[in-house]
Amino acid sequence: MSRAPRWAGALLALVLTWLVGYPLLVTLAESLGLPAGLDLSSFAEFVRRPDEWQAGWHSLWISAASVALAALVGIPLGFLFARHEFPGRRLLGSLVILPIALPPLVGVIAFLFLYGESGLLTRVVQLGLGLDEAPWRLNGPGAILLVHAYSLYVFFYLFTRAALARFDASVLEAASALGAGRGYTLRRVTLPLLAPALVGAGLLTFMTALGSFSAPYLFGGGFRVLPTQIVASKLNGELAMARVETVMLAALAFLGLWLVRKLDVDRHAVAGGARGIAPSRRRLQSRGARLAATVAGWGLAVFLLLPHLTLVLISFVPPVSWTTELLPPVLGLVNYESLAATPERLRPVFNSLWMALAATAGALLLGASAARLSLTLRGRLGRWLELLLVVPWAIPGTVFAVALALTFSVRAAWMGRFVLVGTLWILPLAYLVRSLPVTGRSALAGLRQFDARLEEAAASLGAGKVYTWRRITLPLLAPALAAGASLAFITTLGDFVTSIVLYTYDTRPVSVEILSSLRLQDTGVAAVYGVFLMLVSATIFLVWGRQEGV
Amino acid sequence: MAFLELERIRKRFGDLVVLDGIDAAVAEGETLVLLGPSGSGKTTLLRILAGFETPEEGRLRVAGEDVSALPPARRNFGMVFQHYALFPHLDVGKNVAFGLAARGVPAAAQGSRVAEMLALVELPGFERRAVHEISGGQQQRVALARALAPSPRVLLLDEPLSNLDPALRERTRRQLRAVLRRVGITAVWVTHEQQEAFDVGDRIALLDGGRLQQLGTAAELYSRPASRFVADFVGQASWLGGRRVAAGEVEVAPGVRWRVAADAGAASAGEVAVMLRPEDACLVQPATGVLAGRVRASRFTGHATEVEVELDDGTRLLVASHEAVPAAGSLVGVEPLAGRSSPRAFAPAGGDGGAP
Repeated sequence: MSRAPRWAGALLALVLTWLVGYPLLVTLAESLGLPAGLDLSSFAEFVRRPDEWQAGWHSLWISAASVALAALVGIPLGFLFARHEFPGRRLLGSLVILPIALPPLVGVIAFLFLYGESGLLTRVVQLGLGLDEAPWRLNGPGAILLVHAYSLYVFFYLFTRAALARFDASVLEAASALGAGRGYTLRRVTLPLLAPALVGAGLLTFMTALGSFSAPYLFGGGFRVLPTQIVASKLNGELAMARVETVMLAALAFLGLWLVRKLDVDRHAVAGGARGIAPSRRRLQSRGARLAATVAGWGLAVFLLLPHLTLVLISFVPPVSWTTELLPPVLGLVNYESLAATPERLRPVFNSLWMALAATAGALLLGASAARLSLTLRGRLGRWLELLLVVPWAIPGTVFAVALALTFSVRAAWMGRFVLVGTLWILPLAYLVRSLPVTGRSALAGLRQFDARLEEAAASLGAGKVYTWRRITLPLLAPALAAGASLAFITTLGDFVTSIVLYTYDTRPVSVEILSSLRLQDTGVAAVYGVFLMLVSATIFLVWGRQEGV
Repeated sequence: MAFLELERIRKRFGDLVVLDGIDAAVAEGETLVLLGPSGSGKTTLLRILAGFETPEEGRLRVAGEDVSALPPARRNFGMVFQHYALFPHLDVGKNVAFGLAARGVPAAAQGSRVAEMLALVELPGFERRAVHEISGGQQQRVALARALAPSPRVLLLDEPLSNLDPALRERTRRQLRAVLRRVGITAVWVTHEQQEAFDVGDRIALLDGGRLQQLGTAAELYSRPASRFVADFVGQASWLGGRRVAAGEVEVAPGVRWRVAADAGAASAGEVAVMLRPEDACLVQPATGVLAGRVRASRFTGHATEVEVELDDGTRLLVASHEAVPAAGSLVGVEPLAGRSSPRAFAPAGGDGGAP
């Protein structure tokens, strides 16, 4: 790889610092009362109010419980798919990672339609048991944990599978040659070897749960976690408190990021680099075991897909046609037609698409350039660029959204602050920042695998820089770049957490529109929006988004 | 007539001088081998020839033209990389055609040149194969065909055989050498293996610590090594201490005098290190005036038996014996054979080699 000039690296670092680091820094400074003078009264207030530190406590225990539940689902699932052969394994293997690719808000409303008070499953149970009212209510911490377990097990599943694929079969053979039984081998050999990967998965799950917004926002009710508390404070105009809450949540996230980097978690996500040969998948011998694995695999897939299938069903239910019946009495395309015929309702779809495209393009350009420069410019500048690519990944969306909102609602051009809040630009900009780690990290992965000698080989064959870039570098990096770009596009297209803080009427995205449709009892239209997000996300993810180990 | 000329090439990485004023000239059609241990600077020198590294000082000329400032793409040097660096997303044919396409050669002409090159490396009809489908030896030959296709002025080879298993290495080495001869191309070939260097090089440049230790044919390096380092690096050598007693005569033990090769002995008296090659010595009956020692071990190598003899002071000598070998522990005498290139006298150990 040819050396990039230092000034290009410095310029890019400046731009990224302004986008990524500066809003966080401004928020921290202002929470401390700076620049007027050090003033810790807001922090004192945070400690004094029980509902404030309770939100913090809720965040912590919800995240910890989510890790436990996700592990409970993800680890056995990882073992099942890595070690056993059963009909439909490959298809189900792709389906079970879908929850990570679908917008969280879509998952949440799908849960609402299935398990909510008038949800499909709730009705089945209620009518089946002849109850007068719904057997359960989908709210509070239980509902949040259910949604978290459902979507976050993917980390444990992927890490377990990757670790098992890397496993050297001869270690297991050695254990059995030494007389160890299956249980003993699992306890003393397999699990200890998996431990680093599981710790990594646990950390990622914890951090994602910590930043989770959609589920607590819709199901939390009076049960607040830090992200929802921040948004509530900001809506109530308690900006000082919002700053302090943001700083607290950011501090937790930075602690997590520090741990992730210290433990080198990324390493465990990849199946490659194996020494020795991974144990081959066992074709289950006993009939019963094979049946059990097949039933477990398919049962789980149905459980995972049921909410989304319900969402599709609801999208076909005409308004106020379904009241007390078990199943909707009428199905039709009314919701789709009404959406297509109403420009006001198409507007959010158009908004989401153009903003996601613009943000993805920008993030791809900045992320890939930063990745390349961070590899060629060694030393501090390179490390700083890499850090700027990682930080937005660790910081919860709410923190970024609020930090951007607070920083760019002030005009102070000489301080690098402009009034962007309320304009067309703030949301695409926020999306871009949130997408940087996705595009940047996959570009980094692609570049690290790229053999720089190929560029030398091309040069030795008389190819100029442009020709080499077009014929060699770009085609070989394309899969990694496409994967990063499609994941970035999916995340921004369905984004809710950033949008709810920063949207304006003119830039309202699909997610915000889903929420207002729900509030207007327009469930059918909300479902149509959800189906749109789901189909686009799933298609893009399955076609371009799947990178080895990601 | 020198075709490729290297003049005072100097290169540093930070404080480390990796090449310290290398001068060399390669005739047209000649294969020059850059031989040396790892860290000797041979790969850096090759990368400077290719244009991937820029020397701090020095000039590089091809057929009288100064190419020092040309970027790699405009030098028209072909290169075979250590790990081949085949383009994984292109098939064999497109790999070989790459340099032609980059130069804007029309497609039809590309096709016939690719076929010609693949025939040359004995892989006819391999155009549509994916590069990861073929064996390591075949990949190696595709890399060669790719480098030769645009008719480069000079071919550079960076340890081209190091990735092959030993059995394949020998055969591929012969094939490579045959292709270079047939094409008649001027080549610079980097290796750290003496056998390979002797086999493929018309001449050999032996590098160590960024300095050119000796440049010459294999026979010259072997029989007239310029330094202790060269003597040790090419072939086997035993060393024993001695004292020069007259021009061309060294006392290696009390009362034991050996004639050393004529050009190695300056007139000055003093301590010297004497080098003896196993095949230049023989075992004799112990007697006065004969170097004596005890047989420590012996090893049958096929064409001779390599006998390790330990002298009273602990020095060990290797002797290639063609006769029945006395049992371990028996007392034997060691004598140099007349008219051979060793024993030779060098400055004693600790000096930087150099002339005796």
